[in-house]
Amino acid sequence: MKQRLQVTRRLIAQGQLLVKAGQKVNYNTIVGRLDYIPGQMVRCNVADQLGIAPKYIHKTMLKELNDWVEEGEVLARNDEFYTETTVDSPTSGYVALVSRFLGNVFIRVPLPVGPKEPIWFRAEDYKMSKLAFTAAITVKQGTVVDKGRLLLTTKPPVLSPVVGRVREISVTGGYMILAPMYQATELPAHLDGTVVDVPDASTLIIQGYGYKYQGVLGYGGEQVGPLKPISSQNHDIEASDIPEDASDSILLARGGISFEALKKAEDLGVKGFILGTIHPSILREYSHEDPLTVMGQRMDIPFSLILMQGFGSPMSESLYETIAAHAGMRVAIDGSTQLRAGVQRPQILIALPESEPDDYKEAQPSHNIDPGDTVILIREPHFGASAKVLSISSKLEKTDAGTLAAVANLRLEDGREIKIPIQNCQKSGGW
Amino acid sequence: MSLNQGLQEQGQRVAPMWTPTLERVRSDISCQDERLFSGLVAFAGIQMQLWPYWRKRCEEAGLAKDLCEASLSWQSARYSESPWLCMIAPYGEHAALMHVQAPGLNQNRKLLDEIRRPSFLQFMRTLDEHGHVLAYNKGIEILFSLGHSYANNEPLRVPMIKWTTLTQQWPFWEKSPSGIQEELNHIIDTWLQERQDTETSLTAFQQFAAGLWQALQETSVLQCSQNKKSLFSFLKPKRKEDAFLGNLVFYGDHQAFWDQIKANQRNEVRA
Repeated sequence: MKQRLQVTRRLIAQGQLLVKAGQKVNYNTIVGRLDYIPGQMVRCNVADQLGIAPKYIHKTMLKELNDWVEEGEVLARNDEFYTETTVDSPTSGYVALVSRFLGNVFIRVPLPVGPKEPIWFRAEDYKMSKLAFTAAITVKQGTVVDKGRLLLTTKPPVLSPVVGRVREISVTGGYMILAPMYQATELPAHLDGTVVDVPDASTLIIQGYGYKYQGVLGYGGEQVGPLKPISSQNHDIEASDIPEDASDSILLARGGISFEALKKAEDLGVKGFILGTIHPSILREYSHEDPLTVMGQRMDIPFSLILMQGFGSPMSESLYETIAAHAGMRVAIDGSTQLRAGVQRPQILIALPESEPDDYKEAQPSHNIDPGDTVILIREPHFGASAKVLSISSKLEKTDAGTLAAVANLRLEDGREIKIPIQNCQKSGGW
Repeated sequence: MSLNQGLQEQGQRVAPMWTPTLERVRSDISCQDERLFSGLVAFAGIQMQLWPYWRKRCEEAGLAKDLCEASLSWQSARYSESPWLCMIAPYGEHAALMHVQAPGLNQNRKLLDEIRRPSFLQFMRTLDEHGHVLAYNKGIEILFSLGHSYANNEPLRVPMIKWTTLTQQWPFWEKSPSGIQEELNHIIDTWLQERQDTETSLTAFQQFAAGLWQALQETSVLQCSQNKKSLFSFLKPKRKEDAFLGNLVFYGDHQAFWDQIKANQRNEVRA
């Protein structure tokens, strides 16, 4: 069902929005630009050093909030009674906070932006044997390293050129891969549409019209690319199932995916996958992270994965067919997932060039589960299972946990009938 | 005769001309305490009246702004060879310490580092209205290095001035340079003609002030060094705190006082 699509774009730190309300944008339009990526805060006790009361700190400041200050540059000056007292900045960075209660100035040290491609360190580059190379490595796989941290105890020592995560250390291969954590300071629109609102200086809302599907779990960040259905089978896709021309595409498969297929996708430059499921051990082996605890953008993988059923069963045929009908269309996927407070699920957006009809009425989200709908269960003990809604009770009923809730009678794919609170169901194939 | 020596001698020459004005101020504000009066002359007379006047005059004569407005920083003061050094360190909103190093007073520049230490800052914050302190060990150590001892609970041994009192006395101090104004103008103009490129108005003033201060002491207009010897004083053990180092503690809302001074200066410029 066509519906209104909305995405909120937010700059995570000091920066500028480059578009205004009412402006049309494409998915790749740069709508915001970060001045810098915020790093650690360095405290400078200005009031104490100048010997003034904290409330007068603003009189002495030579730098405004958000101004750049170099290390050793005069940050504040007091010339009371013709005696000059100065405070030099302990570090280079942006003035992030001036506290007139504590008399402190906090300077935010910007993090260096790294290249988009991972950085390789190979034994042969340092004319070392693989064994010696591995022995010289001072960090562990998965460690996040700061710029300048010692990586290899060679002569001269090798320091990390960027802030990044050690993605892989191979003893047999004699190499180490460092994935830069911060690659971009530009914020793309992600969706074709119109900027409808700019609530504050760092946020804007883009609205489009088209199709929207919600997954259960997601890994990786935002990606945009043409949709390419590759397998309607309910088993794991292999490397051979991935077409050679899949570069920059979003691939759709009903079942899961094998480790080799993930590796091939990485080599080809696939932008993302929409899958029914994936075996956690495969994802763990591929990402070196625990997929049960590290979700969404926190998982450092080169493409995005959206699981429509979570871990377990493949995607229902009807849902696969519905999504596959958009083959060739540009799909914007976002793997962001948060299961705790402020629940966030991964989503698939397909914006259409047509604009929203004048008489468009937005359907009420989440409450519109009706008998006959297919739902995915998003809580244990049936997490990830697909079921058909038989009926919805109009009264609150007692659940197994002893609480009162509005419940739905469902039939699972294996034929069992269960009663589940409506909050634990998610309508399959969109809202 | 070098230019610097010349300025010192000019200062000594001006001292007798300034003496009647200072004596009048002393009687008008009824100040009996010799050391307090010396501190007041250093602060209210030399630092807050003569120095701004000197700067203003240099500015009017067209001296470049950076040479004119050069103020003494704690960093530069430590390595300065100047014979007159007057530094004022505020400690929070209420307390300030003036530290003078001049002929007849302590010449130990390391003391400047001591009074900028955080422990000393804490120490100064504990001063009450009577100058009594809660002794912090580290603060006491610094005071000891400044020449004081544990002998009493007023280790600074200098009077406390409330800013309100000083503000009441301010009209007298504002008028205090009037007796030597013409002479001062002449000295500044001569210096401007003969000055070398690197000299700032501050370095010149420091030479002048040192000469002035020295002469005022030699003629006993100001008596700020030792307590006068009493009978049998040779029997007493010599106590370190008897050495006046040129420290003067101020107490009161000094921020308000300074803001008022600045506001007056701005108003003068507008007028």
